[in-house]
Order: sequence, then C-alpha cells, then structure tokens
Amino acid sequence: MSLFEFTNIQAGYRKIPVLDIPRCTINTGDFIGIIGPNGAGKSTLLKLLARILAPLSGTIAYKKQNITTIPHTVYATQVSSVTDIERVLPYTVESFIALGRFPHATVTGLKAHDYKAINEAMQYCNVQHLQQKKLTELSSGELQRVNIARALAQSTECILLDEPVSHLDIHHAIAIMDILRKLNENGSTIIAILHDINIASEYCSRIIGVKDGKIFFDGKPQDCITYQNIEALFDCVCLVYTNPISGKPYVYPVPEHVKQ
Amino acid sequence: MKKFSIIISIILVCTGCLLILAIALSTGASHITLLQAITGTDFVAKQIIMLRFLRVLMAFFVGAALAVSGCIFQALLKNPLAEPYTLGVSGGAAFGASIAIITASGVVSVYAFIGGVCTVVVIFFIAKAMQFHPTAIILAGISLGFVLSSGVLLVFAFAKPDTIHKTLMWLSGDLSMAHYEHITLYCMSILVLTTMTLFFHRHLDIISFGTGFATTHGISTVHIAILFWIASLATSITVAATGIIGFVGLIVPHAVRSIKANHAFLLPVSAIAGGTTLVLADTIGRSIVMPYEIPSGIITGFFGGIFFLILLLTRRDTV
Repeated sequence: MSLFEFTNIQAGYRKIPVLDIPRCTINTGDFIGIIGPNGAGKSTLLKLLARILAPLSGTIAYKKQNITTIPHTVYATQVSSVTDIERVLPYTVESFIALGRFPHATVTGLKAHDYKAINEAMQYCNVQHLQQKKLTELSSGELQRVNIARALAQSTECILLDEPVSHLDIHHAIAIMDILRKLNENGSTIIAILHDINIASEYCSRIIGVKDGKIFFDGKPQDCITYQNIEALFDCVCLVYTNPISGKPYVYPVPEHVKQ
Repeated sequence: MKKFSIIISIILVCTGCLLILAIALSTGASHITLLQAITGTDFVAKQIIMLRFLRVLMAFFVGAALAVSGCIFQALLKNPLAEPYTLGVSGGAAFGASIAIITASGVVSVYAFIGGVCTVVVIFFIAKAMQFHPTAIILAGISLGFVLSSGVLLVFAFAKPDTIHKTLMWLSGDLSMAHYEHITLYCMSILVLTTMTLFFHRHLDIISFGTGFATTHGISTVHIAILFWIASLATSITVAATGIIGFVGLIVPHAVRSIKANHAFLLPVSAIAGGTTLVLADTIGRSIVMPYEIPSGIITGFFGGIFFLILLLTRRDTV
C-alpha cells in the first residue's frame, strides 16, 4: 500500500528549486536509506515529508490525501521525525521523551496510556537508566537514542531520520540501526538519510540515491549498489563486493594514491 | 534527591517572597509597620498601609507579567537574550508616552499602550511574512526600536525641560506615577493573560527546542501567533501601568530556568519571582534615599545587571 506519493514535486529555498521529483511512491513497511553526496537534496526531501518545508510546486499525498490538507496536529500523530536537536536544553530525559506524546494529548495532558507509551519507548531504546539525567549531560550516542525514543513515544506509523548515525562510532551506530530494524519488523515505515553506504546496504530494504536534486537510482540494495551506480553517484572510484554472511553488497573506496 | 531539592527551593522561594512582601508593606516615608497597622486602631496608619498595599500589588503584578512574557519570548525567539522589550514594545510605548507628556494632550498610559500595541502590530505582520523566523523577528524588533527611539529624541528636541524630566522619570519605570484608580483593570488583565499562558506550557516546551521540532510535533503558526499576542499584550499593559522597567523580564526567567527548564515549572515560578523582584526593587527605590524616590527601572537595571553577571560567572552551564 502506498504511504507517500510524489507528483511533479519541485522544492527549494527562496523560490530556487534544488529538488525535482516527477514521480515517486513510498510504501507502508519500507525501510528506505537515502544516500548521495552532500548538497544533493537529501535533507530537502526529508523536510518535505516532515512538512518543515512546503514544495514550490506539485503535490505529496499521504495515504491518498494531499498533505497540505492535513492539520499539523493530526499529521504529527502519523509521521515523526528525528533530526539533530537544534537547542539541547537542560530537560530531563523523561520529560523530553514525554514531549513526543504532545500530538496525542494537546489539550488533556498526559494520561496513563501516554505514560505507558513513554515507558515502552524508553525500554525499546534502552534509556530507562538515563531518565532522570539532563539532556545536557548525555553523550552523543545516548542523546541520539533518547531522541529516537522521543519519536517512538509519538507512536507514528512512519519515522523520518536525518543522519541518525553519522557522528557515532560503529558500536553505537549498530545499536541505533538495530532499533530501527526492530521497529520496521513491527510494521513501522522508516525513511533515513544515511552517509554510510554499507550500513544502508545491510539494513535497508530499499535504497534511494539522490544526486543534483534528482532521484538517481531507486531499488533493492542488491540491485542498485553496484560499482557503476556508486561511482557515478559520488564521482569516485570504488570496489563493490558481497558480504558473504548477509549476501548484501558492500562498498570500499579506492584512494587516489593507490590507483596508479 | 533532585525532586527533594526542587521542593526545598520552592519552599525557600515562597517564604522569601512572603517576607519581602511584608517588608515592602512596612517600609516607607512614614514609620508605620504592617504589624502596627493590623493590631493598632490608628485610622491614618491603616490608610497609609492601604496605599502601600496598592503599590505593592501593582509592582507584583507588573513584575509577574514581565517575567512571564520574558519566558514566552525566550521560547518563541529561541534566544536566551530575548525579553519583553525585544520586539520594540518599549520603544513604541516610550514614543507614545513622550508625545502625551510633552504635548500634554491626554492620558500617558493610554498613549503608551497604543504606542506599544501599534509596534507589535507592525512586528506581527513582518514576523508573519518571515514565517516567524526568530532571527528575522529579533532584527525587525531592534530596527523598529531604533526608529522609535530616534522619534523619542526628536520629540525631546522640541520639548520644554520640565516635561523632559517628567518623561525621563516615566521612561525609567516610576511606580509613583502609576494610575492606581485603574489598578483592578491592570491586575485583572494581567491575571487573565498569565493564566492563559499556563495552558500553553507544553507548547512552549516544544517550541523552545526549535522550529522544525515544533512543526513535527504539530505546532502550527496559529499557536505561535497566540503566544506572541499574549506576551506582547501583557508587556504593553505593564508599560501602560508603570512605564518601562527593564531586566526583570530577562533575568528572572533565566535564574528560574537554572533550577528547572520545563515551562510547567518555569511559568508560575517566574511569575512569583518576577513579582517579588519588582516589589523588592520598588521598596529599595523608595527607601534608600528617603524622602526621594528612585524609579524602579533604575534599581532593576542596576542590581539586575550585577546579579546577572554573578550568575553568569558562577553557573556557566545554564545558557
């Protein structure tokens, strides 16, 4: 079933389009990794889905309904978003995660089932032991897990993530990706911008390559992570092998000095 | 342990507030203490305490309104340096008031209120056109503030010296010039506006984490506009009531936030602390050089600035 449908979308800033998507469909249950060079329009794409940015022209439908006709409070119960927190304020982890319940309880305040959702989200992301700590006291790995728990508490069908593992070491990156994987298996649609092609290849069911504001390729990792595609996408030389355990492709860049 | 320390600090703050209110009522040009007025039978003493009570009440409500709108502006503009006058309300009010005083053409508070609200209307439409982008709003407010303060200076250039002195006293926030016959109107409207903000404490929590964060949690520009108007109207009312009193709206939310940042705590505690701060400033202003009075705006600016510096040097983590 289609969750999002793009029709003739043009998007950008100050009326100058940087992203051009004539047609694209995102289905329920997809685990999408968006890859591509810096400045290609990946974040713009995610901002469109989060409704932080309105398209210059064209329409995006969410479950066949034009998203501009859905009130923000309703949309926030359907789609949540994990981006770097603009201002890390000294809130406790628990009260920060509780903010995720806001779209479900704008007027009434938090009820028992809201606290249940908050606790479940904390367990899911393994942050219960941090709940009385302040956000300002957390490491970046902890902060990212807490941020994802906050999005989980929002109980949405779809979660958007902008570079959720970019500044994390391999251990913490895998921990975050495992959480996303588990969520996807339980039915959530996950759309994440990822810089690590190998992580994207291992975890995602679908890879969208974005270059110069256009969708460059779109498909299963096995089909579209080829050296031709990746070399053209990033303008670099690389080797692509298959991980013998998972059967997924992995990419190894060839540095300039070894090419001769 | 942390919950415990918060309860302790709330108790301390409340006791401190009550103590300050009692001291404020007991201090003044004539030596009548609160205790004497309550226990004694002297009619004049009771009258004097009643007058002091009105003044203390006005100071408390104005201080509370300034602190609460400071909280709102710091969240809306995502800037710890934002305060009730950032949008230029003070400039507009000062311009209105100086015209009223110098031309002797009407009630100062009405002119000040109109000046403040007109400025807010202009800023509101600019902000709306900029999709409530915080930096754009701040810059617009500062620019408009400059225009208006040169307007005030222009009015001064054509005014008589004695009216200039009167205007200057008004501009420094002089509670002795307040119109106490309208105190019910001022206090009621401030009470209504600050109570309204309490319903938005979770909105403010979310807004303070960033614009994108707010959008993805279902905050629309309507919510932002409501909060913008509550804070601006509260500020305009205080300006009409007592003139321009700086710093309360900046330091009080700051100091309270260092205890706990959630707005469910921040808003009510800032209101109480802001009210008390202004009562204290007013009491100091009317008692240190008796029988003269120093306008509260001067006291809050002076002691507020020093307090702020101390806070900055001792607690580096709480910006």
